[in-house]
Amino acid sequence: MHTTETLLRRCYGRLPLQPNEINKIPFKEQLPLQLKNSVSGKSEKGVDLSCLQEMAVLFACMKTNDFKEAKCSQEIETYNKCHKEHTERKKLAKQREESGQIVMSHDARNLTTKQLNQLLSKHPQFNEKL
Amino acid sequence: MRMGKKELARSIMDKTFMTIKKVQLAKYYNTQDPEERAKIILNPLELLHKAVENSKPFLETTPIKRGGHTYQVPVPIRENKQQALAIKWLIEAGKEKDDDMRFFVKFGYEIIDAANGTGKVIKKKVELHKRCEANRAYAHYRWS
Repeated sequence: MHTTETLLRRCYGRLPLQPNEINKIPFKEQLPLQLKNSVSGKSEKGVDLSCLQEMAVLFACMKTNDFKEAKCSQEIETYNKCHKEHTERKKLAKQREESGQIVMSHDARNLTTKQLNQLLSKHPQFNEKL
Repeated sequence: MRMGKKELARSIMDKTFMTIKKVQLAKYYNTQDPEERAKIILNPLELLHKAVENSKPFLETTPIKRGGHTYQVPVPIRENKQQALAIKWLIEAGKEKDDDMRFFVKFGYEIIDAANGTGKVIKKKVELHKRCEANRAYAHYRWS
C-alpha cells in the first residue's frame, strides 16, 4: 500500500503541478472548441412522477385503516382520477410534439431533448472550419 | 382458455357456477332471518364480478435501477392489467394443491371468499399494497 510520502515522491522527476506552475504548460486544442447544434438523447428522462401527494394521502389512510379498502374508497378514487388525468395529459403532449408544433410555454428547466434540439436548430452556430 | 379450447373453458365455468349456486343456496336455506337472506347473493355471475372487483390491486412495485442499486418503486396499474391480475390470481388460487377438491369446486370457493372480502386472493392483494406502502419513500425521489 502506497503511503502519502511514496505517492508524493518524484516519479521520473515529475510531481503534480503546483498552482503557480499550471500556466507554464501550453494548452493544446485536442477537440474543436465548438458547441454542437444538438443535444444527445442518450440519457433517459427517467420515470415520470405525478400524483405523489394523492399517493401519500392514500398510504396514510391505508395505514390507519389497516389496508381495508372499503374505508379509503374516496382516496382511492381521487388517486385513480389523478392518474387517469395524468395519462391523458401525457398522451396529448405526445400528440402535440409529434405533430411538429413549436415548443409551447413549458417549464424552462425540464425541456426534452426534442424541444432543446428544435430551439438550438433555430439559432445554430456555424461550425465549419474556415 | 388454453389452446383455443373454448368448450372446455365453458364447461369448467358452468361447473364453477353450479358449485357457487349450491353453496349460496345452502346458506340461504340455512337461515330463516329475512334480513340475512336479503344479504346473500344467489347470482353466481354477480358474485364473480364482485370478486374480481374486490381483488383488483391498484399499485404495484416495479424495479428501477439507479446508481447500481435496484429499487422497488410503487407505480399505478392500468385498468386492463388490474382486471387481468385479479382474474389470474383467482384462477391460481383455485389451482392450489388440494387433492380432494376439483378445480371448479376450489375456484368456486375462492370466488365466494373474494366477493366477501376474505380469502387468499384478497390477502395477496393486501400484501402487494403493503409492499408498496413500505417502499413509498422511493416514489418521492425525483428521478432525473
